[in-house]
Amino acid sequence: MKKWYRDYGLQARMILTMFLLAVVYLFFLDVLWAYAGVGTTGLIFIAGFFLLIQFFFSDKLVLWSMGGRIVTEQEEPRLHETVSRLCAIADLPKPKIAIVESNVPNAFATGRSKDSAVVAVTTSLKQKLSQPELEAVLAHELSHVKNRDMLVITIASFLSTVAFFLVRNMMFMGMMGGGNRDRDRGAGAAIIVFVVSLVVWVISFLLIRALSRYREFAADRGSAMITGQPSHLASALMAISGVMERVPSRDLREVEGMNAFFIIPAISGDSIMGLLSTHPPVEARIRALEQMERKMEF
Amino acid sequence: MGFLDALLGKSRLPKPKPDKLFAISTAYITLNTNLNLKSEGAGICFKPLEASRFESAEVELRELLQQSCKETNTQYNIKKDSFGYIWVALNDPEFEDLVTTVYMVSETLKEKDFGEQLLCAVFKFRDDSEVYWIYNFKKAAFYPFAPLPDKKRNSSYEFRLRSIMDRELPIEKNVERCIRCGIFLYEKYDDCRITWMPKSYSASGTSITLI
Repeated sequence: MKKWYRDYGLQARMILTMFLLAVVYLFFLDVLWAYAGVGTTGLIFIAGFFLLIQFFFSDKLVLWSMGGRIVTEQEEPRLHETVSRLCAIADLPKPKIAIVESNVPNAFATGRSKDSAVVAVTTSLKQKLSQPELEAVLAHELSHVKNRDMLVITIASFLSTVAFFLVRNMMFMGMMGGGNRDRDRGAGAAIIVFVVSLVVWVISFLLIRALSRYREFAADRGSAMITGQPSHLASALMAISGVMERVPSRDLREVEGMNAFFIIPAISGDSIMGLLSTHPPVEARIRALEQMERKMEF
Repeated sequence: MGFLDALLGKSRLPKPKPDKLFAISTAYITLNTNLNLKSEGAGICFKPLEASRFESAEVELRELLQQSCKETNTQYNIKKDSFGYIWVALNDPEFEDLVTTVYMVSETLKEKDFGEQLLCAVFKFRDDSEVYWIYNFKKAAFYPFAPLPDKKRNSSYEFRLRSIMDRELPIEKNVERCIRCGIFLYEKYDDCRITWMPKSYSASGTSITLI
């Protein structure tokens, strides 16, 4: 019973996803080296620059784009105390806490490392959830911090960003219609790189989404482990998703860009689901939590 | 937590280390004589788990507490605070007994495999005002907490205590990790404040309360 929070199936799927990602990227780099030549160095340099910006300023960027405001202990003593206690149990440095004025009940974690992490909750989340439910959601976000999910997803996104830049560059070059001397060879290479990087981008995009979904399961697991109460996260997920359907869609569209960081994605309509989703369906997450609850008993 | 664990999203809770608790027994002499701090009780806090195994462990813990507190003549009280954490508040004129009872509670939970759920142990002292030494089970370290009447912390006094006791106690160096553990919250949330009985208590009194 001791390791009720282990899930080897989940870990196996995660390894497989990361392995496939690596295979795709290696293949991509190989193609880059063989066909694209020196020009790509500059491209990678640019992408690397953006990665650095993303890496060092992501917490501020995310907070800024969400309209999050860092709150002090005096302003939100209860929220701070809840997080402090969870951090003491999980042995994490206490993150900064931010509040987002929004009537979409949600929470997210950001920041490149454990020490610079920010955990944010929306005003609506605070109103709609009970104390144990809010605690479970905060523990979920802290698990993201503990698992370094921001870093993992950023690095995973980096190489697909390289591919994305290349696709754009090739499209641009294609439109300009190459006026250089060995036009035929250049154009042929460009088309190959274009097609390959496009395929790479689509595949890596889907894989990153899969990775993101697995890490959501892992964070749910972490939350259940820290709080010792899987049912509280389950009821919080149900409460949030139930409310989700009733809030006006205008608000949902406004926050769609931030989905990867949210505890429940704000997607209007069921069409964007399955493969493209950053989060597993709530039913699947609740099933996993129920399973943990059963394992705890024995 | 290792690189691989992070990569695979396998978060684990760190194991508790109650062994360093006894450092406060020897340090009490210095606290008492040099700093003029008098013991005013102790407490231990843990997060209950949602499982029938935990409930039976809790029953066992209550029985153990009843037995050992009878022997040492320690007063105890078990309460749940508004955050859902369980506090065992203890009072005994013998400081040694407080430490051993706190250790016993933590060891019992550890044996039952619920040690990860331990939040902290708290030792309350008083000179002119209240001073607490808080033990973090995950870090195996103590840190002082000196509340001020206007709901603030006396950080300069905490710093002084920290540097004076550095040789005798394992001290948590990272100030940001020195959380107040529910001892002291703002007026509005004063229901979370733990209080121990004043020093002159009656033997039969059960007024160690956790409001």
